[in-house]
Amino acid sequence: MTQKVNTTTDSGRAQEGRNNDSDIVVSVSELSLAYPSSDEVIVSCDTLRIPNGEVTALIGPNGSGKSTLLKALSNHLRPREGTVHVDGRTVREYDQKEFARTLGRLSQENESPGDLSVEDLVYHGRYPYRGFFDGISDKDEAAVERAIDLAGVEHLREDSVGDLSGGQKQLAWMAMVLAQDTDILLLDEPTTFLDLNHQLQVMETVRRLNQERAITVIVVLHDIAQAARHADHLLVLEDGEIFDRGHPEEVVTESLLAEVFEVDAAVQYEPELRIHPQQSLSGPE
Amino acid sequence: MSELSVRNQISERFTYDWISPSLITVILGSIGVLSVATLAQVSFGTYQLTLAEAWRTVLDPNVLFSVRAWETFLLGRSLPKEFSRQTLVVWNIRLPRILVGVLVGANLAVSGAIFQAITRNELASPYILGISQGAGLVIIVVLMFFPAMASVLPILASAGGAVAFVLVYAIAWKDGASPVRLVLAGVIVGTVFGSIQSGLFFFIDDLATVMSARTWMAGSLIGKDWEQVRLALPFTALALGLALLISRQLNVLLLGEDTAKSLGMSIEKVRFGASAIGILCASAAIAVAGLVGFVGLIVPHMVRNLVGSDYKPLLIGCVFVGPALLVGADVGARLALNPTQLPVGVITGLVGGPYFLYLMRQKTNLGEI
Repeated sequence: MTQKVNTTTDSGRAQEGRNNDSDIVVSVSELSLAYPSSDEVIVSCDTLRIPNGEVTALIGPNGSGKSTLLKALSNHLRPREGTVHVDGRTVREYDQKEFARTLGRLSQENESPGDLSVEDLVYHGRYPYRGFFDGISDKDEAAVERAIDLAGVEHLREDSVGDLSGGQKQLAWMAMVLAQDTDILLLDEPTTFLDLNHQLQVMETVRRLNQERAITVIVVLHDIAQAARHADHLLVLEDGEIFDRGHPEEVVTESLLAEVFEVDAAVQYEPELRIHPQQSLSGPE
Repeated sequence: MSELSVRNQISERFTYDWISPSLITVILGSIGVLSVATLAQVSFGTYQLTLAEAWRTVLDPNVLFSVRAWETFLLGRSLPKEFSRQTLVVWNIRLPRILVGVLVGANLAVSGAIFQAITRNELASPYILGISQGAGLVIIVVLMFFPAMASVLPILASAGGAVAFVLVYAIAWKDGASPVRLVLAGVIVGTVFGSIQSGLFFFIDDLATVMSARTWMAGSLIGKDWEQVRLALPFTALALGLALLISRQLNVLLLGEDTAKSLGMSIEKVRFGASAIGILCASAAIAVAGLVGFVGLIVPHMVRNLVGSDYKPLLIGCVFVGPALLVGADVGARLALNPTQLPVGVITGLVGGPYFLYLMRQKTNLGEI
């Protein structure tokens, strides 16, 4: 564990040289992503390696392809070219339920019947473990209890999902994904519509998961400061290509903010990484 | 196979969790309506009975516990000679009509509920998705040209419904079939099939056949007897059983395509299997009663408002409310303009339309489950 942290902190470029497959849990090669209805390639990326047991944040401006990349990693979008490997196998080789036991994904917006209780929602997370005729096993129950506890929604258990606030809803859905009990977790902008308190709750849950259960987390984040604070590893996307990767302190620089995000900002590294945005660089033309 | 070994340890909480007081109320209420409607249907008519006589005949132990009688009803043996006129009227004419109503009501309601889950749209029903018209077309063709095949009518009708639905699915398909596209495609296919049906009427020379075809199009229980019960019962039992088995799959479908896929569901497979069950339900109903409208649309809606959107209690509620509504409506259809009998579809349409309008005005986001 410590050894790995050392290598990653060195430099983002060090990632390229690392070929130890046991450290890499999700990888892509020669990937080219486009939506079936159009020819436009949204993401193209030669190689991408997500280190095992770390929190990797995907950041980038709107439309840079973060969510699209996440869709391909979670097998929701078939790549036009290239392959995605999860745990050493291509995603196509997995049986669907088996894949859902390996990798969980929480999408940006979720819908459910309004009268569904939080507890029942979380139980749906056990779908990939249950056969067609199976009832609920003790294992399912234990996983659900743990998920409810981890996401901190114990007090909401009996409430209807439709009555929850946006933040509580997100935590309830997070609990459902946690009940899937996967080693890899993909989160698509889990904090975007939440108030500060719930943003922190979500990110703290992510942290706790990663530390206590060694779960690899790939999270798309809108907020660079948040990404820098909570992730071990940043991946910056611009126009569908990986612009930079590495440890937050090396990646988040004033020039990156200017070049990729088109903002003039001051970055402060001590005592901790802080970003002070000054003004937009792409004003009205 | 740890999944098998733990199956016995099903937690009690979840096994019976869905039996809520509201579901029990719905079931008891439906049984109440059904009983009152049954008594009314049995006692009133050209051959009048008092309520007490009606009760006594319906609960007559000589019929109720007679193997010979049930062989007649369910296996089609000739009528026992010892039946009195009263017994004959009640047991051979009025009760089977009610039973057909029960089967049709349950089938239509469950079918509607299934399609509402598949499309995640409260407005979906076998009619909206073109299935009824597909099944209907086959039924008309069979009755007109191949009357000898009438005994397997539900199967043939299912095939017609399935063809229509596959067509709808194919038209709607574009990287998966979205609920809105499905509904739109269903309306298109349904309209075309309906036109062919209407067109076929012009080739019927016999006026009586035209009349019966028209009655059939409106959806009617007039003259239904044990033959129709025998025709629909096996398909109904099969379809309803299967529907209850897939209730959890339907619940997961309600979470949306994205989530269902993330949970490892083979969405198209489940949608297709569920559709097959829904088509079978609808076809069994249409084969015996014709195109009774609005039941498949409104009953799931009413039940959802009462017991919630969990599909296990929802489907069970539908199995009770559907029959109550249809048999209740048939009392009106048969007795309102006595001696003229109306097709029950006229009544369900007259009741269902306003109910639906009322819903439209009540809810802002009608359509989403």
